Amino acid sequence: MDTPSDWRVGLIRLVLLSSSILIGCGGFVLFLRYGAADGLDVMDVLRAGLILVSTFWLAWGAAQAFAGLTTRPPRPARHDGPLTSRCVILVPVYNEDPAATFPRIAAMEASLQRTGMAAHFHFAILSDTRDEATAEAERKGLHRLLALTGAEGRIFYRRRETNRGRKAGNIEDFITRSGGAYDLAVILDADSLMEGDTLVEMVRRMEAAPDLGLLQTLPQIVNARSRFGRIQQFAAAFYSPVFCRGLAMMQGRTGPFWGHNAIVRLRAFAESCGLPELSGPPPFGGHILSHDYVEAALLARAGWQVRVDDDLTGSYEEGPENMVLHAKRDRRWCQGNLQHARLLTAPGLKPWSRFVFVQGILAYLSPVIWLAFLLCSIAAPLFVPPIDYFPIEGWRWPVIPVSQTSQAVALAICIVGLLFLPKLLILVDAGLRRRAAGFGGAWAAARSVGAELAFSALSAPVFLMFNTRSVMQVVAGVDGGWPAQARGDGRMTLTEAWQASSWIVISGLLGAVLAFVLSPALLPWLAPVVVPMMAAPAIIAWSSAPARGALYQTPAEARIPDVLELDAAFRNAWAAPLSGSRIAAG
Amino acid sequence: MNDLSGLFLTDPEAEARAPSAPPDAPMAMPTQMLEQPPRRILPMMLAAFRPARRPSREA
Repeated sequence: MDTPSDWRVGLIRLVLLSSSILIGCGGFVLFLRYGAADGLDVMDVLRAGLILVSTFWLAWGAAQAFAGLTTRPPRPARHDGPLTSRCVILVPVYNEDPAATFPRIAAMEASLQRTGMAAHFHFAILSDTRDEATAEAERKGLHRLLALTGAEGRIFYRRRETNRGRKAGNIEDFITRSGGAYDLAVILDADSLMEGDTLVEMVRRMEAAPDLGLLQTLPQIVNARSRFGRIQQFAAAFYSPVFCRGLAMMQGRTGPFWGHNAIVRLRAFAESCGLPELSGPPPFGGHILSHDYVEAALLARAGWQVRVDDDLTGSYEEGPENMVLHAKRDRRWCQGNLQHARLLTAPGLKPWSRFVFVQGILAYLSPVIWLAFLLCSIAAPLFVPPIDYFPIEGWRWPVIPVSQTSQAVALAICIVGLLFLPKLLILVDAGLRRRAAGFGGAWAAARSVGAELAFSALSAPVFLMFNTRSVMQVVAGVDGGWPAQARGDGRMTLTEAWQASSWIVISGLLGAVLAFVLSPALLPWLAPVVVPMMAAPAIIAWSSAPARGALYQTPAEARIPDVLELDAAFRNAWAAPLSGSRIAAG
Repeated sequence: MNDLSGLFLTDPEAEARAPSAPPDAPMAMPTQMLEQPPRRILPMMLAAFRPARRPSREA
């Protein structure tokens, strides 16, 4: 058995979920006691309810980290003999620069050549590009790619005439035309990179588990250059493996699919994952945007196992280089996740799949809930009933209400603890298990974690506002469309940052003025939120600048993975005049 | 007719315009059902009060 037994998974889920709910309830009670000091009113109960959901959500994240720190999934089975499967590596592109995408394919091909197993793998570049100039560059780029790799007959290219179904439709189009030629398909993004050894290992694991429909890896962010990009890169490398292990402990047969850097069994995918268009117009109807979660749920519904293996390394992607690009990507994901509300009652889904949809929705609603809590807190004095100093009839002496500030402080400490404790525990764990060595040693990792926490605290209110705007737009029925992924260095001037975030500055100012007028005592509590909001352009511009210094080192920088070196070599070759020369694979 | 293609160098530009297509091997991918058909609650409730079906006069 590759996964922990059902009862164990059930027990882990039960313990972690019930502890998170308990912590949420604890927050609820603490807040009610604080609110009851001057008499309970409707605003207190409303705020306590908001605190319950928010605290549960924070606790649930912390619980996953705790599970990842204290448990370890069993080692997955692998097939050691010669490979028997035919595997195609799918690279969907959509108005991407071929000069960035195609060298990655060349790098993966060369990395596969080094394994001696390249013959088992084909590549298919699936273009959905609408821009004619880019499409022309892709067609020319294919010739260049074949010249560089010598992989003619194993690297294919096709461009769709329409974009029906977007990325999911692109993959579906390939499967319906060519899926019969293969047993397995690795699904990538245009910015994905995977080591040849990892690709072979994934095939081996798929061959060892015939009921495994999808195997997901945890991609590490690479090639980040800006401060923001490097902070994200560090966080993904340092924290995510622990969270991923926690997730792996809870997944059972209903693991995640994140849309790329994963391998699927084509027969399973084809028979279970044909996505319908949802009734009604976008954003809630039409194409399913966050198709990956739905495909994972559909595979599980059909009885296939979906699994993330946290021990699989050699899987990479690139991330947004500034906060605005990050927020734009989040806008798309937000619409996709909120659309899942339509699917909560889809017939036959496993309960855990439905819960995964709820989690995805909560991920985007929770910042809105925090904002609602803050706004309610500012408005709360308007709802406070006058203090009754003589609540007992006939009693001559006034009763002075006891201050419950300590309850509020305790609650604030709990919330900050839930935010920061998992990361600090991961730091301690990395130091004890010597994992920190890849991050420049324990001291360097500690400095990086400290700086990351400080930046998280500064950027969280800005993202809270971007996130809230996204949710509001989706709820108002505004479709975000399908913008191409902006990649590149992402540097923003202060003026550009101001243009992107002036509304956040104004919102922060308004919040501070409102708090000053209605609830001056709240101002010190609100300062960590409104001050970063007012400084949003500076934070965005500063964090988009190129990073300097030794902070945020990752293992992929300490020892550059082979496929990244190959990628760099092929990028250089791509930039050079066409000569037809090949880069040696060996 | 003699095949002269081997005597001429292929034009890289022209080759790039006719790129290698993926193999032709169709695989069925049926569309899944994700939405429940709308339940008509009112007709279901009223059904209980409908008179028993009688044959028409013509019959």
